[in-house]
Amino acid sequence: MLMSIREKQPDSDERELVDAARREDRGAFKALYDRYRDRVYNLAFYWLGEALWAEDVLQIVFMKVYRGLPGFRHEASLSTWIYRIALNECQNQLQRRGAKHVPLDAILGSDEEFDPGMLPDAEQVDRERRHILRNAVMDLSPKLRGVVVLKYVEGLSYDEIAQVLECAPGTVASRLNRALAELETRLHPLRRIL
Amino acid sequence: MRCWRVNLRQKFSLYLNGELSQSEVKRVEDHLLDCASCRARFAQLRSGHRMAQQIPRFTPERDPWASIEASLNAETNTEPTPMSEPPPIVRGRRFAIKPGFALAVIGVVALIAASLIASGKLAPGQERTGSLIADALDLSEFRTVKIADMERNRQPHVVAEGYVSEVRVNGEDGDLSFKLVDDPRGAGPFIICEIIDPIKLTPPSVGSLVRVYGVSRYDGQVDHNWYEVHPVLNIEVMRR
Repeated sequence: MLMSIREKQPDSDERELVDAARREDRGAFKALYDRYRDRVYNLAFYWLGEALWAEDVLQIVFMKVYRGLPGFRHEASLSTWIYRIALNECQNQLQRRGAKHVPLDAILGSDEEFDPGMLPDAEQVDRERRHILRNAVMDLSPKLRGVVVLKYVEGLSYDEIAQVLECAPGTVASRLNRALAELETRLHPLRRIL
Repeated sequence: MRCWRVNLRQKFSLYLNGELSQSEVKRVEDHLLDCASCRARFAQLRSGHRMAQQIPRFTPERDPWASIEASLNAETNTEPTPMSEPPPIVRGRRFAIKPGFALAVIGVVALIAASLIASGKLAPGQERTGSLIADALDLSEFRTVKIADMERNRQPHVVAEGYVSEVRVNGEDGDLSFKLVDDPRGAGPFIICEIIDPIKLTPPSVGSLVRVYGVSRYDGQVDHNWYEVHPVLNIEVMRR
């Protein structure tokens, strides 16, 4: 099971880092960057579907975070604020490029392609499984994909997701129900390898 | 037969993620004992939940920290644009500025231009309006639209010509936007043009006649609705 649980960082610790980063303490900003880098990257990766694109967005997001720190007043949590910047940037990027995601069916191929004489090794199976899961998530509509990524990749609570997406917790629950049902429907034929 | 207990069905994913109180857990479990329809639905969601728990996390292959630090060092002499509390997910924003604020915005734009000149990226007297992206664009693919006809446009990439009537810095995310109009003297059709990264794209001055290349978009919100070029990819100044 690859689910990762996000560690809860003390709010006071982050507040100190933010205040220090505001005073141009580059080490403090680097500490914030280290704390949020992978979270932002995964959000961008699942939103955009390309590793290199997500890396570029990662850089843009943290530049915006740095520029925005002087105006950040701790009214929302730092993570909420950073996730919103990241989501906004991802949506801007998609709009700019108009990139289309390749659907799962095109990736999986057909039964005729399976060669029973070639048994894949464990590493290859794991790679394929991650690939299939990743594509299944990206086949979801943006609204459903957002809640799935924020919940199962980023480990946010329902309330935290609601704050990031600016919707009611009930809406998050409803979307997650639909997303899980859709994932199950898409991946049901592959459940033996998942 | 479909169960009508919508409020309980909505709690299934919360149950699976351990986010229900003890009393709510009991309500869900008691109901599942009695309702075959909900048991089937719950089984489906539980299977989806188990699959979702395996969604992989990734680490960037290239750590962009060095690039970020280099950009921060380069910006050391640039006045930062203040940002306010959490930016909303991309929605429209009320486009109304006060005259005093407009003058301040023009001042910020002038400061950015002065910084570009001082850094050697912009020669005095030269107006660099296009972005680095513009060098890679095939501008022939952009469809020419009149401001008044924007609502009939169905093409994603457009070029529109008009006068710049207002320039605004978005207080939430630091992005620049300006209003493009046919007639600078009075009210009439307009297009809002959004510059996503102001460091790389010099915004035009108020009153200038410009040609704007970018992605067409309709921004319909409760408090406003208008047509946009968002993001702006290139600006040609026809007359200052």
